[in-house]
Amino acid sequence: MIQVNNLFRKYKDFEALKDINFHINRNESVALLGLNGSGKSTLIKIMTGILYPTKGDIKVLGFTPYKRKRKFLKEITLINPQKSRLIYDVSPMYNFKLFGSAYGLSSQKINERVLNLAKMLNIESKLNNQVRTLSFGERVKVETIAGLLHEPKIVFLDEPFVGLDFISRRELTIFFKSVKQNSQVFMTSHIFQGIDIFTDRILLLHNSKLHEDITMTIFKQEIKNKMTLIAHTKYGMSLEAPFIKRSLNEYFIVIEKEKIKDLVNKIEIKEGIEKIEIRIPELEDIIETKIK
Amino acid sequence: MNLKFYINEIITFFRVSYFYKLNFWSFILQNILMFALFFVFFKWTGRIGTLNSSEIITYYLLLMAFFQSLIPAVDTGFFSKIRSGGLDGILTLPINLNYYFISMHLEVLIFKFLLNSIIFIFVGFSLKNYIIINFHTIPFFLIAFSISIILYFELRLFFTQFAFFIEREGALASWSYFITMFFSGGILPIMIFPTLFKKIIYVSPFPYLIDYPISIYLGTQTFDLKRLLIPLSYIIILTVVNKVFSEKGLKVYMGYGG
Repeated sequence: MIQVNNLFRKYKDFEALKDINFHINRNESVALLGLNGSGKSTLIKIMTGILYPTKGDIKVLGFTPYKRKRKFLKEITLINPQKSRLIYDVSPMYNFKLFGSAYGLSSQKINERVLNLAKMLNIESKLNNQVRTLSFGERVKVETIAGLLHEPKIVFLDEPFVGLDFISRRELTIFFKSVKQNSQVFMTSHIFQGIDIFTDRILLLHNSKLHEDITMTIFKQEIKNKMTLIAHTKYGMSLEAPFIKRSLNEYFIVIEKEKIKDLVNKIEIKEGIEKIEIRIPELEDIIETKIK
Repeated sequence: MNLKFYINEIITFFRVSYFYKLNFWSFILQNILMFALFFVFFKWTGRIGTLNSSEIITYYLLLMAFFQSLIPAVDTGFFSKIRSGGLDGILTLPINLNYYFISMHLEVLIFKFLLNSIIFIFVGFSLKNYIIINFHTIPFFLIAFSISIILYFELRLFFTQFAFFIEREGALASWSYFITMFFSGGILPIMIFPTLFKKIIYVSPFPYLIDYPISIYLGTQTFDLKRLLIPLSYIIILTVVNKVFSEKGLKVYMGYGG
């Protein structure tokens, strides 16, 4: 379904992607994770045909994306709220008619799809307001509907949660879970909360390279017996490895449950420890451990 | 070709233009004021070069109409769209990029034409004693004008696409605009310049944008099909060059941001 071999992309002197290789099966939904500048957006733009790779091969649904064949573009969508393609001076409904016609959809089909999706996203009452007057969260929903009108086979989401409040994020997470029933979802994000709900696999990009490729099942097994220990220290005091520095006076480690007690005893006797927290590891903890 | 999309696009942008009608009216007002200034000036100075004051006033009245109609969508933000990665959303749609820009261009033309024609006829009628009315040259003028619209679009698209390849596009954007305007007769009529200068300039595509159609209308040049081959050749060359340019440009397109 998606095949990437020895993919490179260079921006002048900066290599945004270095030797990326992976294969994604049909109906496997993937989260492409990484910090800012790790190359996620470049990769998703190459996969959707916006950018050309400098070197390497890529096939999506059997097509070479950068050739931008009409048949290919009708099978995919890219939803990127940071770069809205909506026309702000008209209503969402007007935008839907415009974008729907790009895919050759009839007005009736567009109306049906919009009503169905708008209901799911709880935005029916805003469909005739000017886009400009909508909140950012509402605009993301409108952008999402516009991208899904033609029922694409693959839905590419580029940072869909950035700038959203927790309620909108939750709504969209649940919505994308339902999208997954009919389409394959490929998402980039540097916000890790909630993505496990609708992804089967994680690709972790770091320093322009594919750092980790792991299925969600294995990932969950891996963290099943682990806990996160967070130690807050006094100003100026540092903890040695294997602790990972999160901020000036906050260190953390993801370790096996049975080792927690010993570790707590060991650091509690140290002067300068102000507080110790123990909790179930979040995706963020695991990713940070893997890349640091 | 997905005609329905491009028609919808024209209608949508038409609504957007209507939304910004205040901008549009101020632009028209600014041009009318400019024309009024020229009118007073040339009425006072009389003959310039080979042109008498009626010809000059007619020239600037038609120039006002050109300014209203020619400035296309590619001038308004396409340059920065390329530099800021604003093509991302368009590139993932199953549409032809060139047709997309042509329909944007058409929308601007149609919108401006509808509003302008009323003003233009009104101003023309009010000044009927000062301007030249040549009914017999109007058909030829319209042919030359139609060619100039296509040529202007291709020329601007050519300059605009430099944004794919250069970092700082501001200087090029304003210089290319100035060169286009100056050598097309958008500032002073080319017909008042010395013959040698005119001959050299007329080998370039620029005078066929403004000076040539107006000369046809005024009757200072005769309508010659052979001469039209020059702008038509430029249109063909620029269409091919722009296609190659956009293909090469998209290969190096950065899609910055987001």
